[in-house]
Amino acid sequence: MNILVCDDDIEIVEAIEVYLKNEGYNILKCYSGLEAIDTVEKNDVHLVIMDIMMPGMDGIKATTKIREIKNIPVIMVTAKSEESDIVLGLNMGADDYITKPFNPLELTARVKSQLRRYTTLGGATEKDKKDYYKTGNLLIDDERKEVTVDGEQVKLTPVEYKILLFLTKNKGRVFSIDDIYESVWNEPSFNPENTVAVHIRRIREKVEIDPKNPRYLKVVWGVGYKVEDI
Amino acid sequence: MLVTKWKTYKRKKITKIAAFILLIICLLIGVSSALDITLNVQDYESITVKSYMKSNTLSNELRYAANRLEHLIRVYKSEKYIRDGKTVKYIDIEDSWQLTNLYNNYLAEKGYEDNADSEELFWSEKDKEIQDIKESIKKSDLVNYQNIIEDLNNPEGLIYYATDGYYECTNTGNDSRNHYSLQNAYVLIDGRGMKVEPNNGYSSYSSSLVDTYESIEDGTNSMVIYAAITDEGLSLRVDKWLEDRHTLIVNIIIISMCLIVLITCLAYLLAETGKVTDDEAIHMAKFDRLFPDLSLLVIAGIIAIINLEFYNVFNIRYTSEKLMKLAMLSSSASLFSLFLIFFLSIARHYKNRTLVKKSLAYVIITRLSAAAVKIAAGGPLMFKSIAALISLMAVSVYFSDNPVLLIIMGFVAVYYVSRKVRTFEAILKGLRTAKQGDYEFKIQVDGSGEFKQLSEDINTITSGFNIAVQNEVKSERLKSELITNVSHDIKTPLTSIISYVDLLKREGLQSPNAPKYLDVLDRKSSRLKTLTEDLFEAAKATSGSIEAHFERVNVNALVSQILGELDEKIMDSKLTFKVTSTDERLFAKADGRLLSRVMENLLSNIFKYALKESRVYIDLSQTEKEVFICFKNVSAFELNIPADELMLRFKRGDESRSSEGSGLGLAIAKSLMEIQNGILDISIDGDLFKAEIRLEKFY
Repeated sequence: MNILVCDDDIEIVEAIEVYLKNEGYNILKCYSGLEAIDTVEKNDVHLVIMDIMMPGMDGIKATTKIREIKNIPVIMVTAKSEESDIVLGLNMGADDYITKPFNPLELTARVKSQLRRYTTLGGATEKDKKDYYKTGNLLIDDERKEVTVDGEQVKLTPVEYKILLFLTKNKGRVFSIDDIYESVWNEPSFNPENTVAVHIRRIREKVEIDPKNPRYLKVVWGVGYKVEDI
Repeated sequence: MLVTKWKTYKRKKITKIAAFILLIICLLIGVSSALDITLNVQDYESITVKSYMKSNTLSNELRYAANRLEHLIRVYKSEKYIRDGKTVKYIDIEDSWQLTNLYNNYLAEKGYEDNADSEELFWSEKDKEIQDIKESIKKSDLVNYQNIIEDLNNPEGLIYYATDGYYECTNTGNDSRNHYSLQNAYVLIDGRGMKVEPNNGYSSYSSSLVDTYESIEDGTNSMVIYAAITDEGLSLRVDKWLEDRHTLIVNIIIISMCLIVLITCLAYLLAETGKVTDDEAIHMAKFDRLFPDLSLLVIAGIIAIINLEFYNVFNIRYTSEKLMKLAMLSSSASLFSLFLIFFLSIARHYKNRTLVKKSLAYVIITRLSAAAVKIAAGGPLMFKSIAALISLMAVSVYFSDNPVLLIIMGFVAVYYVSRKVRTFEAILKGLRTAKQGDYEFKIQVDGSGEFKQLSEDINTITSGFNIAVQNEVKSERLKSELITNVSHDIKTPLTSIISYVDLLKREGLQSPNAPKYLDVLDRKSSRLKTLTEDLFEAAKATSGSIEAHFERVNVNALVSQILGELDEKIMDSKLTFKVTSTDERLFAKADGRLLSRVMENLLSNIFKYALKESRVYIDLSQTEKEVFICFKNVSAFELNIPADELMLRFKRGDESRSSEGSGLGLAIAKSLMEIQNGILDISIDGDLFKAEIRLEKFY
């Protein structure tokens, strides 16, 4: 697997190289947007890690160009953590983003996730299977009571499994704490303390790469929870 | 081209001066012509009647002569007749005013009634006085007689004969009727009737002549009056007549022409005065500083002088005609020049629309009223209002018998008060607008007085506020921008530090202490990371770049969610959380995401600073309009800083800053609450730390 890392900060590029090499990936290093486009054109690149703020052509423009050449996943690295910047990056063709300063382990996790998705894209043959629920790379096989994220199996307690299943079955819809409690425990919600909230957090820790910025299981503050329909 | 040239030409000063001089010259010519007429022309009829023989003047001269002759022959007869005292011989008391006076005095003196007896007594007793009076009457009769004779003899070529049958009066001695009737112009009154030749115009005779004439016709009177004008006399008269006619026609033509030129010049001067060649505006002369009403007064004075002194000057003609002419011309030239100068000044004022405004009366009145207003506005308000009320009452009492005036006064008072109230309302409105934060608004109040002063003071204050607020916003924005940029710049190197520390930890260093040191590096770099993130967050929250998306937030659920999220930390902290809620349904109008950040910050403070193993209370309640979320905990450290200072940026519960935390948590929370139109209140009671969130209720 060839991964292109592009950042004007040489040390960051090299650090990323060390981590990803340990995971067995081949790294192509670039230090500007133009260089990155050139490399993508000439090599068989499977994934791009692109910094946004670079002199000359910035990461967003470079990403747009790369997307015109090849349909490969792009992870944006940005020091800008403002929402508008992230939305812009995602709209311009990035598949995921990570904000500086990042945890190297988180980056590797995101890289793995994107690659798995990229390589298994279209390979999901079990789509039509009964009792099979999916959002993004989160799959629930209700027949086997199995949950996989990016192809990796996740161990959940029965209550956690029930909550996730309930929300994934109705993905995109927001359920209040009481709704969730009643449907999972099958009894009227009476002062459920923080039970549901605590369970949700634990599910998130198991399912999400960055539990603080969840991709699948989201908190709607003051209302309830939902599983994002991706 | 030609038009512009003409315009330029007619606006030149020299043209105007020429017109002025032409005007005066025309006036002088006109005046001298008029003088010519008044001095030389005897009979104005000559202008309408060309032939003297057809004129009323000739007929009237003959009639007049007849009247005089009749009077003479009837009353005075002859000089001898008067001297003999025959005119006073049978005089009655009523015939003479002297006698009437004397008689009345006599009656009053004696206390008599007015009757025949007392009259008889009067005649006898006052004989001496009566004789004196008769003598004086005789004298005046004589003078009258001679005057009439002179009157008759004076006109050239008048011949006459008159008789009452006994006395005769003539300047020819010829009593033959034919002698007179053969002349070209005559009047004949005798037994055959009355004939005037030529008999032009309306005949007018004295009533006594008419009586006489009638009695002649009855045959009871033998009076005969013949008068005629000889051919020599007639030709003299015809010559004079024609001369008069010529003088009149020539001078009248001259006067009319002068009048036309004069009016044209005057109209031109009136139209062009004050205008110059360069533009269309009215330019006032230096002379125009004189008040227009004073000019008017001067004009009135000039007219009065002309009115009063005209005959004084005109009568100089008895001394010397030339001198009179000179005086007349020079005075009319100078007076009319003066008149014109002042009149044109008034015209300029009129054109400039300053006729009233620049008048002395207006200036005096406005100055006086302004001074009055100033005095009135200057005094103490209490004094003024009481004085106004007292004078209003006094005037009402004074006019109490005149309801119409009272009603008018009432309306005036109502109008005045309503105007003041409106002003006051405008000020109130302005104040409210300012209170709501719009310091750009300016209160507009007309006139002067206390309200004007008040509104101006308020405007000054708000504009001061406005400047202060704008400066504050600007500096806050600059600060936020700076912090954003700096935190961006810190993040990149921090990424390398974190990554390489992690790599070192994996790959190891030779020193036995290396793992310990790396641990410190790891902790501190991640603390640096939190600090930058918080700093960035704080900058964003205070710069106003975060917008709240308001929705219905279930506060109970939110607290439950946040506690769920922080479950692990709660377990670690060994703190006991006690949540109480007054209602199951507590809905706030807020942005759930921002509100969760606020609570997270508050709770993370609690984890850091709460006394270990103590209890933390979270109380949820509501009033009619607001929802309250109250966090209470016991501090592990002594809180030696005021509560409001805690919310400032970089303030921390422990001054030594030994524990972790950026010191931005409360500041961020406070800003986020403000964005949601809520309030974050912090109070300290001993070691009890209390944070209260107040939010609008959702309906």
